[in-house]
Amino acid sequence: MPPDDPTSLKPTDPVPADVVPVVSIENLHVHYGAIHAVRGISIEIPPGEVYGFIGPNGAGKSTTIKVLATLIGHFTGTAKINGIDVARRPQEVREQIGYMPDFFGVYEDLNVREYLHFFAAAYRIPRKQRKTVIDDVLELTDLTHKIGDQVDSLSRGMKQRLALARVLLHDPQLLLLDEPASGLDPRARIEVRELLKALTEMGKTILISSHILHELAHLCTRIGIIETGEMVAQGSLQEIYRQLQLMRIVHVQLTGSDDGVVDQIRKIKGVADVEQHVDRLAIQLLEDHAAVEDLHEALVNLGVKIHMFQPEAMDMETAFMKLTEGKTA
Amino acid sequence: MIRRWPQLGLPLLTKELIEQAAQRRTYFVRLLYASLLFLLAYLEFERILAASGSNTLAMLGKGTDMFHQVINLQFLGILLFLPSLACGAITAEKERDSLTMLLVTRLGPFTILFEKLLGRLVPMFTFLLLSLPLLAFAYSLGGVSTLELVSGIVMLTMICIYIGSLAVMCSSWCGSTVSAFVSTYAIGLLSYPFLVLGSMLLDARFNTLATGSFYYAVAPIELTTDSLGKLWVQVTVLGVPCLLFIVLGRLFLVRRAHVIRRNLVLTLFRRLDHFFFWLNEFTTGGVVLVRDDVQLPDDQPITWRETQKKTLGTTRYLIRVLVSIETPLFLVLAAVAGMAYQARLGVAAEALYVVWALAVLLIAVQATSLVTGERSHQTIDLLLASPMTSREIILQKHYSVRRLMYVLGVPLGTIFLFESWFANGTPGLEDGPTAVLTVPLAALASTFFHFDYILCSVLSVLVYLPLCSWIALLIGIKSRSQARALLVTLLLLVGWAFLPVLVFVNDQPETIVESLLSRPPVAVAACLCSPSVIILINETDGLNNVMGTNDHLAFTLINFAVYGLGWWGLRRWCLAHSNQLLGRIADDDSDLGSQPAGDVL
Repeated sequence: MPPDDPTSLKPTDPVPADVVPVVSIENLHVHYGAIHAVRGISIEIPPGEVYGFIGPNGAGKSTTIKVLATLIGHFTGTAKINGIDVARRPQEVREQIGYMPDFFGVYEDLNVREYLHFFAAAYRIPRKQRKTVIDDVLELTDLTHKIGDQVDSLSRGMKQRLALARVLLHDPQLLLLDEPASGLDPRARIEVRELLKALTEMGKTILISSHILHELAHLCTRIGIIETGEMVAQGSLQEIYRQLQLMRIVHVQLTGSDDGVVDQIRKIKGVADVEQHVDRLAIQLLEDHAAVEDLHEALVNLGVKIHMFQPEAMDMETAFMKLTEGKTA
Repeated sequence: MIRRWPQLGLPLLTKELIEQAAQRRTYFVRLLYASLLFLLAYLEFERILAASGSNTLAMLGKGTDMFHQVINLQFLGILLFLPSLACGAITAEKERDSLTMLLVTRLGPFTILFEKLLGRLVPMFTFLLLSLPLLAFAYSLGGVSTLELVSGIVMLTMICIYIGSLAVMCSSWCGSTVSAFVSTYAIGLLSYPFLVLGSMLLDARFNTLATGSFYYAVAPIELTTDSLGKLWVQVTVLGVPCLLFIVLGRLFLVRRAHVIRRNLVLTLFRRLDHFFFWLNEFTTGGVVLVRDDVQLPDDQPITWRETQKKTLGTTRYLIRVLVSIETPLFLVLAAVAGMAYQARLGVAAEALYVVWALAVLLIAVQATSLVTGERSHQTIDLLLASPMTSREIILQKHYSVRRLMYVLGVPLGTIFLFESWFANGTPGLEDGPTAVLTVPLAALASTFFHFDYILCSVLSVLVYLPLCSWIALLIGIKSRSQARALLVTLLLLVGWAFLPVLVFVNDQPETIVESLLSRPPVAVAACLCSPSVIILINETDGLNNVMGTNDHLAFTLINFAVYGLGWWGLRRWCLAHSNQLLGRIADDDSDLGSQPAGDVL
């Protein structure tokens, strides 16, 4: 297989042998009639990791998450949560997961307190503990002041936070979050992101799906890119960029330099090209050949005075488009 | 300048027909309809053959019975199928939020309405076409005039248009398909006196009073006539309301395009609530016997929500349901107590049929909404991902229907009590003021004299209501929407109640019970094929005891043993397959292991 074939990318940093992965999926296939929705996906997520599942609509993200949530039975391959086979012991699996679907299920006849008590009872939390648990999750999600409000009257952002409160009721080790920030305004999206960060700090393992790329870039320790049911790449962001040979752009302003400097910069190891703009230079850097720090050091060694040195944030959308070749479901 | 000619195209109709053609159920329903129609026609022909004996010439001129049978069956088919086909014409677009898109196209509101109506009438007309060979055969047997043949076809077509335009008008008005379905039947019943009035006025004006007997189901309309004048009158009587319905439908289509979906039953009961509140204030000064104290859920959260948070499941509303049915029923039965023996029993039996129909309708509405409601609120996955077992989910859901069944058992029990008292000669009625005490005691004592009748009646409630509820629950689980689940449930239950009776008793409706009682093996077979037969037999024979107590008891026990077993089996199957039905993975040690999710209708 050629090295530039995206499908040749393999997961990196496998889970150490002595650690039981929280999520372990191997060669998962799901069919909906004639549609082959998921085609041989394999994932391993160690404890405490935030795994981002990226793909266009209809790529198979929700289907994979539903398999883990014990909601789809017609699959082949293996799916395990904490070593428990989803197909064989779904009841045990349900105790260990918190599943948040890509829609908010509304019981319009319940208020926030009743909604959480309803699910606390469904998760068999002892009656005496329910109030404390509910107060805790409401505080964590900053919804304490909304406890008496009707669920239906909450804003979309609040509903998402309430849904997160719901999945935390039974303190599951694994959170399966299907597009939690979908349809939220920027403020609500930031609030949800902050909440997820807090959950990560609490040691929760999170599998989160999204089709909004930079939403996951800030949050996830590893990312899997799925397209038409197949995993096209997975690993940390840096690993994915490196594997795809994506170039980092570094914007540089130099003072007192002449045109000869540009030619010298082009000769630095790892620099693919230099574009001259009116106010700056845009240096295209192959990161697998040289790190940004190496470039900075090389520039200093050239004896130029650096007024500005600004590496451009990695463009995940470019990575995604390259991997998926612009295809959508 | 290019001159634009008006383009003749029916894009919406084309889309509707293509959609219907792509669905498997279109062909399944058509095949089922054709099979039943031809089977019943064949049975009628066999009866004609049997009556003619070995003389084939005696068959000549006997086409009338078969002709009327086919026309009546088609009429019944229109009444059963067309409202369910047509009531979703506009509401389905509203429920999918696609009506606005249609309204902003170049299709005018009238065109949309017209094409939607045609889209529903065309499949019904294909059902009617199925009977053409049968009508031709009946015509060839003789006894049917050409005008009668034409009038039969014209009247069936007109009734189709009448019911279709009524259903589409209701669909334009209502926000949900279920509301449109119920409204179609309700307005259809309300329009009945106007049809009678119109028919009478026109008959008097054109001197076309009916010469033959009216058919049982449509007194003002003769499905066949040998008078051209009468045919014109009937076409006018049905045609004018059709135009009115279409015009109103056109008006509602735009004005109520964004109508908020309301639960029809809930709205009705909320209005009743205001009345009862006023009545309570007026009579007692506001005494409250049952308070709706909402507590937080204990260990059965679904039961808690179904019985304390869903308005129609709360105790207060169940009492409303009970009072709404029981009060008029009690007044009617008390009012007819002084009438002649047959008359008072006749009224009580008719009241029983009405209450049964109402009970089945309410149970079907409640049971079909249990899972479809979770689907429409997108909460089903939340429940399924919780550690609650599928069995627990179903049983807790069903609890609210059980409460409704207890409530509905009260008016049914009231009728049984009254009927046995009526059959016993209404003892205690002449006791003056002390009748308040003596009549209830006498009524209770009467049940001992009609033990077999009471046993059969009580068993019917204990077995049939749960059976209906589990059938409706199962269909609700397998359906995407409550509207579809309710339509399928009602069609199934109505078909199950009436079709076997038509097959086994190939006779006029008024003689059904006599016919059954004269042929006990047929009656047993009919009982086992249709749950309604034992109720008919019990109402006719249970009190008069033509069969004899032992035979009646044997009938009763065999019937309810079979149906009770059916109920138990269905309940057990639903619970054993609960994971599969709800689309969830089952533990390996459960009955089925890992099974694929069931298909949803």
